[in-house]
Amino acid sequence: MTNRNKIVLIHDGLIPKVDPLLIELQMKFGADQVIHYENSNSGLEYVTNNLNQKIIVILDMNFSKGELSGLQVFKNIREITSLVYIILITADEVIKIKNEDLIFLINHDAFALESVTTDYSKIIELVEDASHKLDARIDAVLEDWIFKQPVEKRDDPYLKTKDGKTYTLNNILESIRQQTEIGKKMEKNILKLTIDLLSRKKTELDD
Amino acid sequence: MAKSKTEEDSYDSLRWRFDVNTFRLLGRELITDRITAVFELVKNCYDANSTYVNVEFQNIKTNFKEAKIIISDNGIGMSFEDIRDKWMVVGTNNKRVTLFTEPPFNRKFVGEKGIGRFAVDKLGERVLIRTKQIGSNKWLKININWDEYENKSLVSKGNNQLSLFTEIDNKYEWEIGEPDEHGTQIIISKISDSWDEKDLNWLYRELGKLVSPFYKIFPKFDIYLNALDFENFTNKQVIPEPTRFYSHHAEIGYDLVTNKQETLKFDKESGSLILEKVEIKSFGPIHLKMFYFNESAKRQYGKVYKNDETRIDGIKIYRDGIITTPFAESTATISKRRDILGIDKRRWQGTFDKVGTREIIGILDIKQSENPKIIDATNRQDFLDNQEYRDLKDFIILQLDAWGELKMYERESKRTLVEIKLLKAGKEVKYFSTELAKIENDLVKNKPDLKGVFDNINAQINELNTVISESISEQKKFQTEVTRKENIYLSLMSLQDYASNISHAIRTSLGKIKRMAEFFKINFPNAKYDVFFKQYANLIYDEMAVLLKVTDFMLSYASSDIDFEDFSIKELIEELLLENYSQTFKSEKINVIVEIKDDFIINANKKFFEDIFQNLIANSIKALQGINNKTIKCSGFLDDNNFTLYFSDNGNGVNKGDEKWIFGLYNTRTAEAGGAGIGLYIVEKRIEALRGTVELVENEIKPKGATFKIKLPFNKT
Repeated sequence: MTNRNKIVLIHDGLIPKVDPLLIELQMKFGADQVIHYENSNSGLEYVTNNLNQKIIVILDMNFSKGELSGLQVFKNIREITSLVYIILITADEVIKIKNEDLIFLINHDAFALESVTTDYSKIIELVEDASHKLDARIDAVLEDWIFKQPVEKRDDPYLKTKDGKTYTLNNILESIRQQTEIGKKMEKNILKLTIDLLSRKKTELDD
Repeated sequence: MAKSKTEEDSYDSLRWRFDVNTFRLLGRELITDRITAVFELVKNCYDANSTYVNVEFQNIKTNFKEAKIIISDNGIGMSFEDIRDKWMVVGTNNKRVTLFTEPPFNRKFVGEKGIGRFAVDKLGERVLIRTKQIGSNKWLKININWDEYENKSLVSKGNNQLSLFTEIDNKYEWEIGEPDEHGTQIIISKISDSWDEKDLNWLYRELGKLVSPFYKIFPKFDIYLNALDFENFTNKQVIPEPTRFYSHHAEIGYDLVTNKQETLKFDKESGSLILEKVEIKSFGPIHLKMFYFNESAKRQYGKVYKNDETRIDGIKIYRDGIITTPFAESTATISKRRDILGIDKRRWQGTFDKVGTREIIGILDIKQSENPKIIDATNRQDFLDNQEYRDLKDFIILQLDAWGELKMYERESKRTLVEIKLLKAGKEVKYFSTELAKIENDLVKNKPDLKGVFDNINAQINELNTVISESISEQKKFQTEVTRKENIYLSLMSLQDYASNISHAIRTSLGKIKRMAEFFKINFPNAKYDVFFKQYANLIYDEMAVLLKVTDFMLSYASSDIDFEDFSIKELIEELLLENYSQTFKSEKINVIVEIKDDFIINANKKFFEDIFQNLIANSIKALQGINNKTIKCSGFLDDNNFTLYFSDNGNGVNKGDEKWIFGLYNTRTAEAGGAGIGLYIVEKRIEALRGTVELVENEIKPKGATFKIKLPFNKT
């Protein structure tokens, strides 16, 4: 399966274009899948405008004056979605991070918190880990399935709610990614259905 | 998550899911020492509407292996669900639904949710909680064993599942009780540290700070300390310690009828503090008692309390008689104490004239009903940052500034008193010797044998005269020395700020270098990557050069010639720009204009001052690359309070929006021209050390260029 996960680095401590972390990530995930922003405001903008993609963010905690702090970027992303995996990088000692912030990070599913001096191999391992987790998630599996459908079918009305709204496959995917009410409901129903199918030993899913 | 068992099971386990490592990390930060730990647990008793708390130490001296710390209260107790859903969840404070406890107590919560577990962890490895709510007929007993978590965590580490949470079962059981019994007992065993009498005294004192000494709370909240191993701790009730040995005392209050708030003012005429009445402020009326310790009072205090610096601990805020959460934390070492009200931060500008937290004890009483806008922040570290709280901080600082004026006045008058006394003594000796000469004239005429005696006396007078003159000049020298030391200290103050910046920057640099080295380590040799190997070798070299520059700057503070001297700014600038750098300017084809109108003698480190210009010049040279008619202009003049300098060039200028950014460490837009983002950082730090300011203003030379405005204040002393 081709990897369609975008890896967005929002980090002003990386050497632009040639930082070993960027190079190695590009080798592993493909040059087009790795995007680097030095300015946190632009990085956040990219993430919020591309929620229909599967995204892993590597986020620096500290930025220059006038730019959002890493923590603020984290909070802003979490306000709209909990499906983006975020790996935080800090140049300070972890002990210097305020407890309330640590608690916030833990309670809002920060994927990992690493020091800027950590081996990049470790960061890449974390990205791979996040990538596997992303691929195993409902929206990812659904996306794979949608991709297998003929293009014209993807925008056909697929689902109709009681109040008369219709949803295409792409709409459903987007609702799940943005965690709207209908998206969450859909996610739950798919899980229920899966378990139901498994329990009735209908294991011949298309895999 | 708990298993789906009901309360009716008499013996079962509660499951607790958490990451031990994170837990310990958080705990270590939140609970820095065991005094704080006990303090936190007692605060929880207050929140549980207890009227009585007993803190008991068993076998702490005689049989440490069996030692126990037991904290018992008669509060509302916890239900099974409370334990499962609150005690065991990593909590943030904002989960609280109400701010106050049940009537008639109406207590504002002071403890932080979830902190109890960390506190217990600090004190010992095992804990048994016994708790019962009124009306229930059973006591709930639950065992928590920290040592088991550690073991589980180690096992999970072995499985390489670092980020997985550990699931722990905690055994619990029920015990029959009377319906009207209620309260909570926390029994901690396998105690971590030993406690001696000194520790208990310290605990006693800290617990005494929980309740305002000047406010009666109702219903009562009595704390008792028991440690049978020590004579002095048999049912000892905790009472706030009276403040003693202070040199001055003041108190401000308010009058709701006339709507007036009292405030302190220093009266120059009488050289003392007086009370003034002002309108009640936005934060509402407050009552503040202050005890000031001048140098001699501090010495005496230090003697009595064996230089325990934590005793004089600044201003604390109490609400309705109980310490407010931001202050409800004790710290073992003075350097770790948080400066909530920003009292010490402001001393930066006038270290020796302002009153800091180590010189004053203050009790500020507020009331929920009268100061509703002073709200505890959910993080418990501070109050909610609103206009009212900012006004309150300003008001407190205003009070301290009045103390500061008193401090200066006392110091000044003491200084002049010594000088006046010396001069007076000198005059008296002179008078004495002239009078003596008269007598000598008369007497020696009649009795020549007395001459020897007079010669002796005269010699002694001369000697005395010399001693006094020497003393006067010594005294003056001493004053100069004090001023010099104050100056050095001030220049070092900017180091604090610098150290935090620098460690961050160095780590970022090291991170880059390390990643490139790692790339070599993993991939070398491999022809596919040759282009990177070459590039990285260069980048590592450049990055190292930057690091060296930073460390050189750092070392400049450590050099031995950190000395201060008087020099003329006009002369120095002219010498630098017109002589020392003339060769450089010539080869760069830069035209230099220097217009220093007035002269100004400054007492500072000359080398540091030169650093400012060296970096400004280097900066300009980079900005002037590829420009025609290159010009650097430096002008300066005196105004009422400052010596103002303008340093300009007609180079490429600074991008809009970057005006402040350029002073940050490692911030550069001229990386290609070898800019490392250190120069302007040094400029700013050096100027700050001179108590001055630097900013980028509109470019003087048109159409483009950059102009820096530097302001150096007069030394007012």
